[in-house]
Amino acid sequence: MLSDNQQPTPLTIADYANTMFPTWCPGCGNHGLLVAMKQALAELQLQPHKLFFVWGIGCSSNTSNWVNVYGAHSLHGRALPVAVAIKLVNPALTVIAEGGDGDGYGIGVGHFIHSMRRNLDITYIVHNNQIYGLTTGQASPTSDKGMKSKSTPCGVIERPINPLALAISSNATYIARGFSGDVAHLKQLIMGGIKHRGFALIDVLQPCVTFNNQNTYPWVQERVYKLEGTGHDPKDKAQAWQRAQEWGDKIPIGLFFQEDRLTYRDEIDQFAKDESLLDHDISNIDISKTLEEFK
Amino acid sequence: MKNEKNKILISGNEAIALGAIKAGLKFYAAYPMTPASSILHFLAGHEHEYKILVKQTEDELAAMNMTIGASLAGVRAMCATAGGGFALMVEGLGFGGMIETPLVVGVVSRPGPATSMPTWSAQGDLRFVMHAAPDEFPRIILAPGDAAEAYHLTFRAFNLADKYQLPVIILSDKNLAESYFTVEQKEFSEGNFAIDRGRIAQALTGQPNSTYLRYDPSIPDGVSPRAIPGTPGRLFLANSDEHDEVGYSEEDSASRSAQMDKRMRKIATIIKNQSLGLPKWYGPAKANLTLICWGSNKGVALAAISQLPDCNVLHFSELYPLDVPRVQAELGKIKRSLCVEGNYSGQFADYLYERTGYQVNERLLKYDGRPFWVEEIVAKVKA
Ligand SMILES: Cc1ncc(C[n+]2csc(CCOP(=O)(O)OP(=O)(O)O)c2C)c(N)n1
Ligand code: SF4
Repeated sequence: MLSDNQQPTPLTIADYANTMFPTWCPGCGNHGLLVAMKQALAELQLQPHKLFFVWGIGCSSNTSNWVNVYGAHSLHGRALPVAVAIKLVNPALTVIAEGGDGDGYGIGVGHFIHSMRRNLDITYIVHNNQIYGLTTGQASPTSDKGMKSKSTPCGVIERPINPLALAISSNATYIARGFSGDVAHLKQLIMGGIKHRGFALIDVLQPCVTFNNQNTYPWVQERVYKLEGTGHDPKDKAQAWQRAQEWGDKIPIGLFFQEDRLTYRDEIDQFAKDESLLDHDISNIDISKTLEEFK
Repeated sequence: MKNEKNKILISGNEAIALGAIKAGLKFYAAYPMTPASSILHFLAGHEHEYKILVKQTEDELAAMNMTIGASLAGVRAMCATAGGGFALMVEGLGFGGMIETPLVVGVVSRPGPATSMPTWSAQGDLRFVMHAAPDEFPRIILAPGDAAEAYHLTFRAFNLADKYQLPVIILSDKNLAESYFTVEQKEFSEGNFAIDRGRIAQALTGQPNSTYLRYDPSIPDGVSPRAIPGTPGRLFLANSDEHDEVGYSEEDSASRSAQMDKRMRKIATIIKNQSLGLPKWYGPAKANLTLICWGSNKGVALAAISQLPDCNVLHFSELYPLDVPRVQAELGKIKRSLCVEGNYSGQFADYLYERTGYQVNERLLKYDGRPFWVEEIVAKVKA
């Protein structure tokens, strides 16, 4: 009999797939992102039953239906609080949260900021297509100023959210940007995020070929350049901040910033570092001492 | 005095917190809101002693969704708030109902709507907690009448949530939350404290990465075994979208109906198992007038009948779902009734009528934020 950590053969990307085929539009950036994700999981040899994925709601979060892992397809904007609690309870699970830019930077932006300052060991992947895909093409919090969409026929007036700068100022401990058109590079970033012990944000430029005719594959392709090889030091927060301001003719991808910091769980002193709350015996809790407090 | 040693002085909120601790609470999340906050304070003060994780969250949406996450991960989890905070939790409540995850939610009411009168009391959220969240899913609503009931019902809430895999709401109010009760200690130490975690799917180590039929709709009583994530061979998706038996999104007509039927069938199961208790009688067995009340008005009703000959009390603390024929049998014993409740329209009296066809004869309603006074009940009866 095999123990639950052993497999006769190494895991391959097929072990993370089910029998269904994604219903995303042909050419959608989500396809590349899913490939990069499965490759990263296989390369790290992570057992599907030791993984817990939490998705929000959106085209991106429909990933939930085409993978073979433990997971929750939660509410729009609420993936992070679910993920945070899973990790707090059971540190043995590898917890990965995923969603769209509307999900994470719009309706869920409060949880995004607080999860970063909390620094649990979670990887958060945002499929950033700068548009609301599932709801058929309204402006998103990362839509460029002036972008015309169904809900903004005269162009977006607000300035876009800068997720990387927000992550730096909210003290996330691994901050990266990838491009779904560069699967090999994205895979490395995802692996780095999973291996990183702390909150990892990976913002992924993921073209929506159906509703965003502005930030297209060629648009992204022409602009992105890799931080690796530029002399960028991911330990240097000031440099990371500088790079995070770049958006326009040049868009950096790669690892912006990484630091080691104790996680929220590490600093809770009623539990040992990797203690699972599932191991506590609750069959006969003795409250007699506490009852004395009420006398 | 000798027997004082065996008594404790405890508030409604502390009793709820203690009941949760006794039930093996491992995770509590809340955003501060009067009159629920003292549950947060009490639990935070005891998180080392009982090895509980208490988290003050960024808002009530996070509190609810973290509670769902913790429960999904496999431990006993709870959140509590007042009506306004519960309004923010409502979408999450439906998520919990949809994925059939055990959930214990405290709603400690104050007057509404909106911010209203934060430090006053009301029973105006009954209809709200009964119907909160889009569409329908099974839930249980308990409304303790005093500190001892708050303790025991909270303990039971966790067993019920696990057994039926649904949200259990403990509906209290500022009046109960912050009133102090002198109680015999044995009322807290005696009783049935067996932990029932319900049906849990066991590991299948031969195929550690296989899915299983987490939401098998053919299960007769509606309660299909749940798996704790990390368990080999029990992969599933906890999906807020309507789903198939593994949890993957499915909008097929027959499948949707089967899943809806499966979830809703639990209500019949709860009633069939007689998992909820009947209303309790206090005072003389036969009386000309019965005071009908629920939740925190138990104390004042009991005090009133001590001054009123020929008057008894029928108190409800297990509100929903009702075992209609058995409740009708109790209501059939009433000659005349006066329903005493702390809201504008008489929500509970209307609920009783809707479910049982029983119409209360008179209503004594109060919605000024103050608790009922014994004198006003006595005066109403004598008038
Ligand atoms: C509370 C709530 N409000 C609105 C919606 C409708 N809705 C679903 S997905 C979505 C936005 C999708 O955009 P994004 O998060 O960027 O994801 P994408 O589809 O582009 O991947 C909205 C508004 C919802 N499901 N829940
Ligand atoms: S609408 Fe856009 S984001 Fe959604 S599947 Fe199609 S291309 Fe992808």
